[in-house]
Amino acid sequence: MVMVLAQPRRTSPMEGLILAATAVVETGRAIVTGRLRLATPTQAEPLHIGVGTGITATATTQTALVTERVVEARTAGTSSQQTTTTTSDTYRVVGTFTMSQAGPVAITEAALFDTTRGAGVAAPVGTMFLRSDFAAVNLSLNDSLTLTINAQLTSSAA
Amino acid sequence: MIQGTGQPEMVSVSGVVTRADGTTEDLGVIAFAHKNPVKVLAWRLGRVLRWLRTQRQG
Repeated sequence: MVMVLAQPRRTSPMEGLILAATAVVETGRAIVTGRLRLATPTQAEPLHIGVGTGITATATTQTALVTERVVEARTAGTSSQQTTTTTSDTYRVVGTFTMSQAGPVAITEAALFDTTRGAGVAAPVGTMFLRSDFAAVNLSLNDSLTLTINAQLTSSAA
Repeated sequence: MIQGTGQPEMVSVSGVVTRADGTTEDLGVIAFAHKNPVKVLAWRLGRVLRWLRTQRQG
């Protein structure tokens, strides 16, 4: 169980620091099962990183970033299997987002999607796997933010 | 408080900012979720300490 604090709106930097949350959303579970099924899964891999400026707390019912930045295209990340506790138990995506507009702009959310989205194309596009909200990262023109996103799976006997 | 079920053991997001002038800022883990709430609390405490340290330096 992951506990996500409900947080409709942040009013201070400290709140963003300590209340930052992340979760695999409900549509992300469908991506997992879709990737497991069939010899050649029709479900695309969720390695496209979108970022945004929304400050609504992460909830598993969300299906898109709250306010995705559409000026820039989503970043096609590089995925890998990593070992956190047991061999290859962690799915990792690494990607770099670069600001193409004068700023500063406060980036406060990021997500993994199964579909790319070109620059200037309105969101939402594709299915969201995972969303994170975090303390503002201020970016100006040509600044970049490299995100490393990890999701570790475990199994437990009930 | 929302309790999300069916979650992975851990989800984390780390960030590194590279400014236009080439300087880098390692933000560390900027979002974290874990099945063990103690680990989440420890991470939050670490974030606050890190923030206080940067405020003192600034």
